[in-house]
Amino acid sequence: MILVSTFFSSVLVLAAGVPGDQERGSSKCKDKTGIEWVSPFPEALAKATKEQRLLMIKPVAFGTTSDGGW
Amino acid sequence: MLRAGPFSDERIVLLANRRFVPFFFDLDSRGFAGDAKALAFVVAHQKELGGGSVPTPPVLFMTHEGKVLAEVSNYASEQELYDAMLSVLEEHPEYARPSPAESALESPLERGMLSLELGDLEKAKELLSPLDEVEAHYLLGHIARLQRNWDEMEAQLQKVSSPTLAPDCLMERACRLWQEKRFEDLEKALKGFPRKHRRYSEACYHLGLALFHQKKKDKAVDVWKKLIEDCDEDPWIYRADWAVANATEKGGQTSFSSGKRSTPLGRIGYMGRKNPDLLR
Repeated sequence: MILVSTFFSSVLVLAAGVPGDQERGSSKCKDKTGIEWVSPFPEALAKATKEQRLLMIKPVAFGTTSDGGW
Repeated sequence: MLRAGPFSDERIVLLANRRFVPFFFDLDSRGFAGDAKALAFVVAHQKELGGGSVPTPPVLFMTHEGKVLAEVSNYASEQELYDAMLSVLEEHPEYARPSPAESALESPLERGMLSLELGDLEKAKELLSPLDEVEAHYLLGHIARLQRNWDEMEAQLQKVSSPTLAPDCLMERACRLWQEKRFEDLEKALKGFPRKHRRYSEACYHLGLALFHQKKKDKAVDVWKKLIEDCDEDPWIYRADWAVANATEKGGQTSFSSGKRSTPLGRIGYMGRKNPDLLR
């Protein structure tokens, strides 16, 4: 069965198993919640304008670390 | 804390990705995630965020023109943030229109999954119920679990014969045991959950909760710490880190971790409310 690229389609397609102990990520932005953060801001603004979406902005007041933690 | 709390809630993640443009930045432009343009954009409409010492910033829902349509406290619960997201979309439907790709979906299964991602559970049920496919039954079981309709959940999961979905069904049933505070049964159910499965971290997190609520705090902390050490970061890892921070704090100590950075992940900012899963 071919499914569209919704989150739940990946759940069903990948139900056979995706390793839970993958190599730890080293991406610049360390957040792994699954939220697709758009960055830098001009890109986020352009996407919101083009796709007629609201920006969901979280300003961070306690600093961000060099590995992207906050 | 938002990442360990609301931002780790599957419903919030899915809705954020479908209907919003998520963005975070450091108010200190010299910080790693500093963004001077974002700062100027936000401060133009939220002047209190422009000073040297600012209150903990909320989550802001803004138009591309800079108008703030809603905001939610940094310390909001998962449900409060989710409700706010749904409300702002309901009040401003011009920002909730389906994308061209979404409009092109034809199969009821696909449209049902999309409705589920958008939080429209009734619409999802309407689309999925006529289907006699294991995927549809699994998703209906998942919806019933979200709605705590246990009889319906069990009826649907019984129809999922696919071995590949067996761990998912096990996890859905485990969620019921968690909701019903059947901690001993929960521990039994989750021991031996397949390590390579994508829900392994979710299973381990709940195994830790089962132990914690049976007064086996040290074992629970061991499970969470091992999980954090062994697995790639994901929402359940963040939530486990929050649980360790709260479970191991000494009396009188605040849950703010910016000073010592003592959590396994070295996280900042567990202040405000405690991990609600430990308080049940």
